[in-house]
Amino acid sequence: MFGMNILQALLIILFAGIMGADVMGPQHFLFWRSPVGQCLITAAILGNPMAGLPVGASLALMSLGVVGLGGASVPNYRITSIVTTIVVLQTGQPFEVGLAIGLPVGMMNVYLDVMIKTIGATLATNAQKQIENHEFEKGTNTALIILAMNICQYVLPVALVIFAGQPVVEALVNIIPNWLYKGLQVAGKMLPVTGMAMLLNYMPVNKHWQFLCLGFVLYSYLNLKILPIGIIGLIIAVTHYKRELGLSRMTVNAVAGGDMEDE
Amino acid sequence: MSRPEYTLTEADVKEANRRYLRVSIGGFNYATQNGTGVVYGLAKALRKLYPNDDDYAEALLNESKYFNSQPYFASAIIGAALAMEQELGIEGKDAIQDFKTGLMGPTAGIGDSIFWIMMPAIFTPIAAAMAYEGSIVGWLIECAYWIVLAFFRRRFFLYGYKLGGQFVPLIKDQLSLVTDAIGILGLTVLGALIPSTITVKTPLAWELSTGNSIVIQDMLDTLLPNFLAVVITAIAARLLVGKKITMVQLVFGVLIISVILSALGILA
Repeated sequence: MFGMNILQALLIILFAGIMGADVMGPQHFLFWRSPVGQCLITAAILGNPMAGLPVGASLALMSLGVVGLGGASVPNYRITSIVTTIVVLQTGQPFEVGLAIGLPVGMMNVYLDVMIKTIGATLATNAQKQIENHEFEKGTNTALIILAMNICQYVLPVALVIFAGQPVVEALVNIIPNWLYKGLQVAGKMLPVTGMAMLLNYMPVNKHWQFLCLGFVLYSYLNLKILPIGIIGLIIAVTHYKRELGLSRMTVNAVAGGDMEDE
Repeated sequence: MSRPEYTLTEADVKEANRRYLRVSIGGFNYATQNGTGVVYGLAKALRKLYPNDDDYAEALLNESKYFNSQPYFASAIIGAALAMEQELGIEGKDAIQDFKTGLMGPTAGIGDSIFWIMMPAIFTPIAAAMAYEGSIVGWLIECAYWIVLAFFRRRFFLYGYKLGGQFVPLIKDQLSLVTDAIGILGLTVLGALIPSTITVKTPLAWELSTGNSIVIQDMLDTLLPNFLAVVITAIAARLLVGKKITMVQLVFGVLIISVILSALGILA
């Protein structure tokens, strides 16, 4: 159990469960979406909140832009966050080793996710039949069954790692050769590219590519930090918005004016 | 069109909102996507509108059809759909279906890119950068943003119910401008984010006969700082266009290629 007491183990599993229930449902505690928060909370349960920060920071950048839009299944970095934090804090291994354990667990979740959505499809079709047969109670509550499976998707992997993972981790740590360890360090630096690629595909790059260049120049040549660059971006965005709003009002007025002349 | 005899009270609508929030995207499946969640959310309210079992079944079946959008907008659309059930009754079921399917695509596009792509791309790196320095301030800023959003999240359904069908023009005019502006902010941050988060370097060097060596990384840096980050991101972004490869394959691929290139001494 990675040197945790039973209360800590249960709290982390509970945290995973609440996170699952919230992310799939009300989405009120969305700050749990950020790996920084997930690692901070897991580390706090383990008694050393601040130790979770660097883990969370690295995972936050890796998982940025990795979102399952339109029902796509993507690696579950929330579970990766919890597992990586546990391994790093409780075994004293460096971040790369934690990632080597946490990332596969998060990736395995994709298959669990696909399975749930497939079973869900049968349940949903079945529910429509139940409604046709006027079995309203059963037919309208199907969503709750799928929701419960989705919560298990969070609870089970975390519980499995906590209760059965330590021997696996110890065995892995002993057999990880140096070249693989170095490779994982490179992978840690490379993985953010997945999110960046996704972001590029969803942002209006073709229309506004020049601002992408601006951000790059501000960072690479002028060595500004992200926060000031964000503020510069905000100023440009607000200016652009005001200008466009003014233009659209002018067109509306012009069109209205034109119509009147026609009459 | 026959308006149902029962008029939903404020408490009825709030209950529907609570039920819909409880499930939201939690009932996602490949057959009806979030249709199960809509049925669960509206079940109690529809029962009151349609005391007749046959009408109730018909309305539920209609609402159980394929539905998916960004959760915030989905709430507003379903709220508006409930308002239409109230106004039009069971004979309005085709209008309701058209309304839902017509709106879910565009709002998903706008909502996903604002709430799941751009805003996190602005807040997360700030939180991460400060977390590296041992400060939780950045994370707290991010939390504050999410909490404000959650406040509205609780009300989107009610807004949708109030607006009913008027919902459409309102979204069209304002949102495209806002999305465009947020796109500019997001791209500026992303431009800085790519070189700052992808920090691979190449240790390759050419040993010359004179005893000097040409360090490839230095050459690249003079050409364009963070050259590797730009190239790698461009390749990955190309691969994702048109879903040539999935996200899962990309993550796996990056993992394996990193280990190979590192073992060959090309990247460090």
